Amino acid sequence: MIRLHHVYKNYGGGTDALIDITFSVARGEFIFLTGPSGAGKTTLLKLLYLAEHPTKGQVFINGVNVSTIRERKIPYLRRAVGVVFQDFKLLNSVTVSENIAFPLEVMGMPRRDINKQVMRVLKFVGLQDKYDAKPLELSGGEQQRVAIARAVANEPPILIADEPTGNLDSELTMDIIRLMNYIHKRGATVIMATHNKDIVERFHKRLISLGRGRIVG
Amino acid sequence: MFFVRVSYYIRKALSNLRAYPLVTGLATATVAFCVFIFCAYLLFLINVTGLLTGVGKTVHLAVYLSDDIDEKQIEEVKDAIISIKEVSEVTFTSKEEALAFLKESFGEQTGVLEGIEDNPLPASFEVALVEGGQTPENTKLVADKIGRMKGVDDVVYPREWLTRFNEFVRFVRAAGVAVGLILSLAAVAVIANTFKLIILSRRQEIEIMKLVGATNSLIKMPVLIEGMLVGLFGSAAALLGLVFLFSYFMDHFYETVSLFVGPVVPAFFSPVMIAAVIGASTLLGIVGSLLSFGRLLKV
Repeated sequence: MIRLHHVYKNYGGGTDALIDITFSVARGEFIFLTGPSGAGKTTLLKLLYLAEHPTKGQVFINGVNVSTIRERKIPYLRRAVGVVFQDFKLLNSVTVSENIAFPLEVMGMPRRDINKQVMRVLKFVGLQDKYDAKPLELSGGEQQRVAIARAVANEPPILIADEPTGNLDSELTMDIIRLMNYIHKRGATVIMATHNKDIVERFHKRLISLGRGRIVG
Repeated sequence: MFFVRVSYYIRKALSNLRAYPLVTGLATATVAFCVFIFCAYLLFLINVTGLLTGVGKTVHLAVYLSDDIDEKQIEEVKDAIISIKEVSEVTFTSKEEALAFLKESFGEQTGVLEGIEDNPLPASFEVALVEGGQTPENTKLVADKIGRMKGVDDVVYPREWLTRFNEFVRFVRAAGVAVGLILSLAAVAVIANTFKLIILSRRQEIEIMKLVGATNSLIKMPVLIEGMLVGLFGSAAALLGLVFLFSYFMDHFYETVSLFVGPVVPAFFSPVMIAAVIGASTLLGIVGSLLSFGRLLKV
């Protein structure tokens, strides 16, 4: 489903952010991407949701070579990848349900279907009462759940989460991980970056460790 | 699918207008202000040139005839003058009419004319030129042509005044176009920057839309509709303001002003002109909003 082949990434500075990264992720796998801050986790994930392109090497998503894809095809590939951002990236000027409706509108889903699907995912993350709230009226944990709801709203086959528990306390962290696990069990391929060792030890999943831009384990 | 998309574009544009009332309000006000200034200037220019053209139309040539020509010859001269293509109208004044007019203009002092036995005044033609034909060159050409005709004694017209007046009209037109160009460029620059403001306020939204798989057209179309609406309402507001100001001027100041400039009635824009201003402003809104995206779509 996802394959990286000798991938390098350099932002134009002296050192490479990623060095010779090669690995594959099979359909339906759950992977923890770990490593200290600055190890290259976010850069690696950005390659997977096409916010960055590799300087060298090849990235395949759903069998498509990201390096040679035409620019106008990128949006369609992105729709196969749901992303939970470290900083949530919610729009504070619109309501929770409007935030979640975003990827569905993008796909051209009719309004009535969008409303149904939004309520379904809100229920899924346990926020059905908050559909009309603005993100800033919610707690950090709730905002994170909205971000997850948006990422899975169009039921993408791949879910990428960049430190989704980074700002949360341990109880909320477990809630979020259970939610991610549930999404995985429903068939999604999940790649989750974290530097939280407790999570990695508690949930026995495949682990890719990064250190200074290289795979170290 | 097409209708789903179009209804999405419109819904999104309207919800954006609601979600960012300050920015869109500011943008509409800016467009309105720029269009108002530009149109007020344009209206002023149109009326001033109209006024000057009116003044120019009053230029006539006085053609004095020799005393020894008979009625038949007078008719021949008249026909010859009318056949000149720059001439629009010819009016005849006989010797007797000229004297009567002179007497009338002397009023009570008509006694000074009593000692004159023979009527010394010549018969004459007053020649008006066609619209746009009152240039100094044209007028001189016509005057020379008439001057060469048999039975014509002299042709008189305000040569010096006409030259100066035409220079003045040319200056007003050139300055008008130059100032108009500067004004419209300034308006376009201000409006373009305002749209940049709209786009910048959406930066985060655009980034998120890109990341969840929105195509460029999906992001651009609602903003394009917004730009269109801002241009449309901005120019409509400006024109409404101008209508109000114009009628206020006509009600309160026109009488005073007309004492100086004569009975020329100021004109407002024609319906075609109004449509053109609104159309241009709407188009500017569309183009301005599209150009403002710049590199923002490169996520």
